[in-house]
Amino acid sequence: MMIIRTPFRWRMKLLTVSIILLPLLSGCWDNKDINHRALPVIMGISLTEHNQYKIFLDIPSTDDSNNITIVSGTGDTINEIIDHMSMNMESQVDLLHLKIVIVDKNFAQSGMQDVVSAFNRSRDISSKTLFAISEQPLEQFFSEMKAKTLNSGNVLYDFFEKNAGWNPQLADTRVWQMFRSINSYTHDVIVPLIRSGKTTNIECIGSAIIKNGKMTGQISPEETLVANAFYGKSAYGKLEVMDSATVQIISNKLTHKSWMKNDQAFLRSNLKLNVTILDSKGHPTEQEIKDKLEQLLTSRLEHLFKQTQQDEADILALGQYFRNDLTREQLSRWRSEYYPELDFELKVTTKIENRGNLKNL
Amino acid sequence: MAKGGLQSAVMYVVCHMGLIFFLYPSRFFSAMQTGHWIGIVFSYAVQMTVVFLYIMGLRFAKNQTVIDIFRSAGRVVPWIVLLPAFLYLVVAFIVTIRAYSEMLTLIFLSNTPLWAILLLLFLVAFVMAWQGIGSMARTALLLAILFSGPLLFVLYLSFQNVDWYYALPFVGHKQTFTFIMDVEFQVSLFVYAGGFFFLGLLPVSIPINMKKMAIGGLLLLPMYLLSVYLPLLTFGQSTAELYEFPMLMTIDTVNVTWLMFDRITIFFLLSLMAFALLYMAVTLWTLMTLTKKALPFIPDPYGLIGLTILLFVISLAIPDWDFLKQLQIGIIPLRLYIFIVIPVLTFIMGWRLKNKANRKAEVS
Repeated sequence: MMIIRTPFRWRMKLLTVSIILLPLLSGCWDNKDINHRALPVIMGISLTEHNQYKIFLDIPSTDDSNNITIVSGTGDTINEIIDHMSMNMESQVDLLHLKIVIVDKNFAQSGMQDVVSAFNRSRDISSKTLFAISEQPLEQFFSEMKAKTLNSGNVLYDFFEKNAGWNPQLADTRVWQMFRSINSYTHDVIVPLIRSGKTTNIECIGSAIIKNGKMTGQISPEETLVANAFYGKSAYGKLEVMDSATVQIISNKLTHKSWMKNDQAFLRSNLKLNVTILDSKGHPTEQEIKDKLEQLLTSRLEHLFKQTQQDEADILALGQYFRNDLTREQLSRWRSEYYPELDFELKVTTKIENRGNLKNL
Repeated sequence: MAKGGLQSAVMYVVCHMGLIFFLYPSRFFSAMQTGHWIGIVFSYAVQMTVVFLYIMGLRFAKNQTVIDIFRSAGRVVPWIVLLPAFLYLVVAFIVTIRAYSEMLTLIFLSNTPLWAILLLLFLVAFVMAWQGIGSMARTALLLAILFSGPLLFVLYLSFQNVDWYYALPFVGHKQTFTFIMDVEFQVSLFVYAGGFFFLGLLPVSIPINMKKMAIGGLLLLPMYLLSVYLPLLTFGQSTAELYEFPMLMTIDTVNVTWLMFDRITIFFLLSLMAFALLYMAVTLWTLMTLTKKALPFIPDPYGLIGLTILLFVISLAIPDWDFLKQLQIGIIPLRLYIFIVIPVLTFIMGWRLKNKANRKAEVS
C-alpha cells in the first residue's frame, strides 16, 4: 500500500497562503469602531411650522461619566437630519441601538405613515423599537428629562421594558405593529401617551388611539389595562373596585363567538379573569366584589369600544374574528363599514383565586 | 450498508433548508392572498411525486448517473436533454448567490461592498465543490448537527407574536386553483425545482435510500409551511406582502428579554447561510460534473476554476434587484422543465433500460 504524503513544498505554500489570509480574520472592513460611534437610545420626532421634521437624539455617553447628550436638527427627511448630525459630531450616529421613538402629539395627529415606513425600510433601526407619544412639546420634554436623569440614559427605556418598569396600564407598541396597523385591514394600535412627571421621570397619562398611523383619540390608563387584558397582556395589573377592594389580575382568557346577519357583524366575547385580592374596604362579600368588578370592566370596555367605533379604529382587532365570514374585499372595508355597526357584548366572569395571606375578607 | 442513504437524504434536506426561508415567502405572498397552505401542499405534493419518479428512474438504471442514462439513447440525447437543466442551474446559482449577498448587506453588513461578499461566498462554494461530493456530504451532516439546534430554537421563539386568526379563512371564499398560472407562484417553485437534480449525479459511494429520502422530505413540509405561515400569522397578508424578506422581519419582531442577544435574527441568518452555502456548493459541483462530461478534454481543476470565475463575473454584472426578479421570471420555462420534465424523462428512460436488461437476461 502506498502512503500519500503531502510534499514539503506544498505544505509550505499552504502555510504562506494561510498567513496571507490571516489579516482577513479580523473581519475589519470599513466598519467604525464602537468608540467612534454615537449610539442614541431615544429619538424624538416633531414637526416644525414649515412642515419639516425636527429630530432629537438622546445619546448616552460611552465613557464613565454617564452623561447624556441631546442633539437636535431639522430637515426634510429623517435620514437627511441624521446625516447632518453625523457631519457635525465627532462620531458617527448609528441607530442600531435605538430603543424608543417619541413623537410629539401634533405630529402624531397629522399622520406618521412615512416615518413608520422609513423605520421599517431602514437597515439599522430594529423593528422592535418602541413607540410613544409625548403630550408636551419635545423640546420641553427632553430638557426636563435631561435635568432629572443626571445619571442614566436608560430611564425611559426601562420605563417601557417588560422586565423592568413596564405596567399593564401602559400600552406596548412597536414599530412593526405600527406598520402593520397602517397596512392591515383589522389591526389598529394604542401607543402610550407620556409627559415628564413631577416627582417621577415620566408620567403616563393614557394611550393614544392610532389608526393608519394617525392619532385619532385618547384613552385613560384604566382603559388601557382593559385593552391589554383583551390582548392577553394584563397579568399583574391591579384593579380598584369602587369602594370595596383592590384586586390583581393573575391570568386571563378570552373566548369569542362571531356571526354575520343581514350584513351586520355580531360578536359576543367572554373574558375570564383570575384575580387575587390585595386589600378590601369594610367587609364586602366575595360575590359583591365579583359583581362590581364585572360591572366595572364591562362598562370600561363599553366606553372604550364606543369611542373607537366613533374613530373607526379597531384597536381590539375585533375584525380578526370575522375573517371567516367576510371576503378579503369586504374585510378591506371593515373599519369604515362593518366596525361602526358592530354589535359587541362583553361578558366578564371573574374567579377569585385566593385572598392573600388572610382567610377572610 | 447500515448507514447507506443517510448522507444523500441529509444533503437533500440541508440544500432545501438553505433555500426555503429567504426568497420563498415573499414570492408566495405575492402569489396567493388566501388559503396559502393549499398552494404549499400542492407544490410539495408535486415535488414529492417528481422526486419519487426521479429516484425510481435512477434505481431502474442501477447505479448510473442521469448522464449515462440519457447517453444510452444516443450521443446527442444528453446534450439536448441536459443543456436546459444546465442553463437553469447556472441562472439559479447566480440568482441565489446574488440574492444572498444582497440580503447579507441588508441585514448586517451594510457598509461592506457587494463584490466582497460575493467573492467570499464564491470562494467558500468553490472550495467546497473542489473537495468533491463525498466531503460535501459529510459537511452536510456536520452542518445539520451544528445548526439544527439554533434554527429550531429561533423558529420556536418566532411564535411569540402570532395571531392565529390570521390563518383564517382556512379556505378562501371562492378559492380557485388559478394561482397555478400566476407568474409569482411559478417563480416560487424555485425552492422545489433546483434542489434535487444533484441526486442523479451521485457516485456509487453515496447511495440513495428511498425511505430516508421520504423522511427527509416529510421534515421539509413543516419548514415550507412555517416559512410562509410565521410571517402571515405575525403580520397578516396585507403587511407581509410588502416585505422583501418576510421571515427575517418576523424574527426581528421577537423580543426575548432574558437572552443576552438583542436580535436573534443573526443566529437564524448565519445557520441558514451555512445551509445555503452547501446548496451553492452542490449546485456548483453539479455544474462542474456536467461540464466535465460534456467537455472531457479540460483538465480537472481548471474546469471548475473557469466555471467559478465565469459565474462570478456574471453575478457581478447583474445591475440591480429588479433585474434579478425579471431573470427569475424569465427562466420559468426552464424551471418547469427541470422540475417536471427531467424527472419524468429519467423515469421513462430508466424503465426502458430495465426492460432492456431484463430481455437481455432472458435471451442469454
